[in-house]
Amino acid sequence: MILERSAPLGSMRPSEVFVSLVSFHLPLSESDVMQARNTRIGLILFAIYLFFYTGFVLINAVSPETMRTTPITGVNLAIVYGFSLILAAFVLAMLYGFLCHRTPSDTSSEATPDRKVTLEDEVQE
Amino acid sequence: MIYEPSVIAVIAFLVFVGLTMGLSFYLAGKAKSSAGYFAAHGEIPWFVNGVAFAGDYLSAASFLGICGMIAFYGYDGFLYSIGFLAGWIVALFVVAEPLKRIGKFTFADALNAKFQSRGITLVVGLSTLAVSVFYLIPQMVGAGALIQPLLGFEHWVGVLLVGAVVVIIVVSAGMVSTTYVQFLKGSLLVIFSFILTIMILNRGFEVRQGGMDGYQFQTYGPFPHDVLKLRTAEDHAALAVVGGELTRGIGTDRDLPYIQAEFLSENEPIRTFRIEPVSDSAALLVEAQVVEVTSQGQVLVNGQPKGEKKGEPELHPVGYLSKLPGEAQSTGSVGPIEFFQTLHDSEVVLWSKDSFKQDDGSTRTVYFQKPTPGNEVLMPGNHPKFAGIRSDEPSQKLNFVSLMLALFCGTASLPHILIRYYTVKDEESARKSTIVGIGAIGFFYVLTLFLGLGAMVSGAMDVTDTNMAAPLLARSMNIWLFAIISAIAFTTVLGTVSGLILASAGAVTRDLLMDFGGVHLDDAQQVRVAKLTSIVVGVVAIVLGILFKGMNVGYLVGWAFSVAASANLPSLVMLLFWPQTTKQGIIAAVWVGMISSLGWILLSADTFSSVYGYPDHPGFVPFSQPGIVTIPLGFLTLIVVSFMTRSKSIA
Repeated sequence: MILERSAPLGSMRPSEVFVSLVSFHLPLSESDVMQARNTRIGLILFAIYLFFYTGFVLINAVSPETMRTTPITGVNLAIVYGFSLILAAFVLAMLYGFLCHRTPSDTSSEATPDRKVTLEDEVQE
Repeated sequence: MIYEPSVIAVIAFLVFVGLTMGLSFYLAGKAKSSAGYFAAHGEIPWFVNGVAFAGDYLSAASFLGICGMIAFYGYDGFLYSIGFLAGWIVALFVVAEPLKRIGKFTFADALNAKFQSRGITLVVGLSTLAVSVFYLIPQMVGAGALIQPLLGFEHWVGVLLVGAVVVIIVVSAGMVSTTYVQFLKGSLLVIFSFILTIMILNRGFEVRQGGMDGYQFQTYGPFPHDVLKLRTAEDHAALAVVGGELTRGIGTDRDLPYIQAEFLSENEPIRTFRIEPVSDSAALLVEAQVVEVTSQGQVLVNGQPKGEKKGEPELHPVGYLSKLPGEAQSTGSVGPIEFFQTLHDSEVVLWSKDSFKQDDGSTRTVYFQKPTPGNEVLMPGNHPKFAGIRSDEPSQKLNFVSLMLALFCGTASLPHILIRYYTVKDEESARKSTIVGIGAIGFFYVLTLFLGLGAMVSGAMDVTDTNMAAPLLARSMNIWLFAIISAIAFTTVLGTVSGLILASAGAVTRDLLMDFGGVHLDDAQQVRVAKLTSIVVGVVAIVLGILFKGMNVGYLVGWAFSVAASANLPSLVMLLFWPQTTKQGIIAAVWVGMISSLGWILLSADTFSSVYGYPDHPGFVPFSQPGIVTIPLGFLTLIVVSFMTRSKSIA
């Protein structure tokens, strides 16, 4: 499978190179650049969360007594950190939705048409 | 405990199930084509789909299992909540968008978008089936555990009920009805859990000596140690005098820390006490509860045959605080932060158990009190499976990290979750629906901590069954709430099971039969075969649900997550992000991930004790959770094999 590129590798930004490698048959377009940006945002936010989550797991594994400390009077770190992880998941998700731009190719899927059944077929039944 | 079916519960239950099935039949006309059957035309609104994600995901394990674990052991159940939710981040940020772009009807199609390979279709179809079945078992076991106390029927009836209802729903209407069932279930679950949480906060805490049946557990002593050995008549007499109501102590026949005693009053002639040392020379006798199963199968509770109706001998409900901060007897209603602060400085009576076989072939299980400081309860490490993190054993710490890794990676790898991505019309809708899903699920998990801890002090817990904590909590509050929450829990199981059966039907029909087997089916035939498969998988699920009765639901879900993460995630991620992935790499990675994780689990110490029945067998692997070994193994296999086969992939 030969990958087409519309510009020499050296002149493209890393995310564009990345997207051109994973979009299997189209030359680089505006939608691909959007997708590259969206993907990059996703991976950065993922990395942030991973850091936060790993911190929680490692503290529990390596120094569980730390979880006993009370950042808020009477409420220990275990609870505070746990709730924060849950809240952070939602906040990051919202951030992601906010930062991502709608790509123009959103409504045209690259799925091969042979298995796709449209609403028109439905109506005829 | 004796569960009497409440008329209200039965009616509410029937109404809910009726509504669900009515909705399903009403929407049945929309799913005539295979596209409709599998992916609901891609026309489900994103908000509905998002809440349906929550309905799909919050299965028996979340609601019943986690709340139950928290109710009995404290914080540790919450670790599952955190891990389960965090997995959504992997799903949203890493997998969602690229997957939607190249996806078709099933997970195997997504993998196949780049390679048309029967090898891939086969192994991924199998992996989907394997994970779906493993995930089905805890749902069916949960159904049985739910029906029994609710309606008074035996475990197998609940399993059969769920299986039959789900198969009917799935066969009649496919994905569309499943989505709306799960939307309904998801919203109701979150709303009523919220109501229950408010009620818990409103009720506040109080100090008690027993559960809500009013029975007060007694503590006698302190007695000198030698008296408690009960060797002589004087020892017995000494016990009687100091103990007040006690007339005679009956020593146990081994070196066990229990004594049984006879009482003056007639109601419960024999009670069991656990010897709790308070110093080198003396010990207290703390009342315990005993269940004995004789070699003939008769069940005795505290020495008397287990009763059938209320008022007859049964285990007492438990779950109460023994001390509040500042010697208070009760607090009024508390705010959410105050809730934790108060609990932190209180003392809770948790219950542990000790099981032993007697010489005469009977099995005796003693449930004894374990007063625990609140700040311990709110710390991880109280539950036997998590206690290892407080020790110095590296293998136990690895076990914990391994489980957290599997939960984190597992969500994105579950076949029945992935299917739901295809039921919205574009990527942006997929994003929005996942955000709604995370919001709903996250909020629910926050509530589970309140629900579990609320159950812990509700006075309504059944010592033998952690799965019933949440519904019993509701029952202790309000009979209507109990009825509704039980019905929701049942619909919870219905929703999850239908999603899983659908995933299996997809795997068998499209992946195994059509793609790998080369059998050609037109649209109508596909739908028919899918329905037939649904029935078969439903039957298998029913059988397994009956066979695995009593097994810990959370443990089984951990299985499913570990296998899914090991088999599916490496291939999914590498396919989306590494262009040198070859089809042989994928095939090898899925086989290796699936077999290594399954093998690890089957050889682990946990399985030997819970499934095969050898509690002290160390297993053949260093710790029980495979994730930290098998997930990287999957990635490694894919990379190595792809490198080895890369020349074949250049066109």
